[in-house]
Amino acid sequence: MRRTLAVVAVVVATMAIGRLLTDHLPDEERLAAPFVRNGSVGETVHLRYGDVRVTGVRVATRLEGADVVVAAGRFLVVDLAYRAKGEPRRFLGLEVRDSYGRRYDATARGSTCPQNLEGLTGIRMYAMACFDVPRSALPGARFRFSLGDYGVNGSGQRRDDLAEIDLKISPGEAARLWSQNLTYRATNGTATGPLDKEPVTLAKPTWWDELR
Amino acid sequence: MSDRGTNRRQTWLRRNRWWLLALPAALALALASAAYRVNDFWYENGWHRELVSAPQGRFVTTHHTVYSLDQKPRRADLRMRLGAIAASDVMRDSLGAELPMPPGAVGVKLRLDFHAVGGKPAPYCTVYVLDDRGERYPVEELDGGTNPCPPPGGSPDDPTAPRSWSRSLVAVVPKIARVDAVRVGVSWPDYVTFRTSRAEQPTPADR
Repeated sequence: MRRTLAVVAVVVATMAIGRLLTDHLPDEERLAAPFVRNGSVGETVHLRYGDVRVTGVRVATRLEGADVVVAAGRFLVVDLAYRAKGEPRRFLGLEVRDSYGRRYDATARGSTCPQNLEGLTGIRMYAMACFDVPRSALPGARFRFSLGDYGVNGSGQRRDDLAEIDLKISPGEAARLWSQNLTYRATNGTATGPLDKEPVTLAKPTWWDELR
Repeated sequence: MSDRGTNRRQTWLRRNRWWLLALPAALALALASAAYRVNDFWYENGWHRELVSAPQGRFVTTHHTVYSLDQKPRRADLRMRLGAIAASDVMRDSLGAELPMPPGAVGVKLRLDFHAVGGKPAPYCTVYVLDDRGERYPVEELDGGTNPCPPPGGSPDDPTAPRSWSRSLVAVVPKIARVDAVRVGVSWPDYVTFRTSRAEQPTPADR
């Protein structure tokens, strides 16, 4: 009888330990989480596969690429300088996260801004990433840059470095950026020197401007 | 009572001693049986095996296995050398137009010399430049064709290929980089390393 009780006690204790372990050890999601390197506008963030710096933040109503594209909200334009380390890389992760945790992909509308960036080893390159965002996304928005793509629930970014850069947009600044009505020239690709950041004046209004 | 307990513990260890001894062996077997992942997913998926490392100017012959569209392995032979290396301030696109060099970067012009092996020209290959910190730089400019190894504009199966030919390539590297080697690979994971002579290091005036 005593022996049976001892066996029961051992089994119960083993199950309890098992439960404790599964409850308190990091789960798969946390083990697979990316290594987030934080930064701010103007700071260079160093990653395993390269480095990245946000050189400026702009907000546009329209982008002029091969065609003029009008934002559904506003285009949040993130100007970047970046460099590949080790070997030539293609950076697939360009995203914005807002203060509500919502995620925005680089816009694929028209021939305007790149969805991914090519990096030559060791050579500084420049590009702009554009995101069509609602007004509520501007204050506290953060830009994310990674080698892997977001894929399905961050599948391409698992267990790898990821830069998260605070764009430093205060609520007041967001209101000011939102109210200006500017058009910028879009560069769909990469450049070896800083991009032209001056707003442009369109020769003729777009059909969208005529509508409203 | 305590006597009996001690006895029982000893008996258990004694009774299971062979299983206990087998545990490390089982662990080793389990690790070994999972090791194919390292081979299949990593080792065979990149340039990881150096076949030969030769100084600049020396010809080497290497044998490679290439897979055609029917997935059948074929043997391909490569006989080549790193002929010369020099700094270059210009880069040209495929139409011959001059492209500006990115700021802070310099071109490294390579001359690769080839010999046909058994009447067959060289297989398609990948060429990259390696600096002293292990950074890899791809070839950005080719003197014709889409691949740096076969005769310009030729293919590995061209029966009218010349007996020997040279290719000229340009890689773009930062000015602070010291080029150490040129690597040529035909199929993962095998590659050939050509070490550059220090005397011929490309040294642009403004380095």
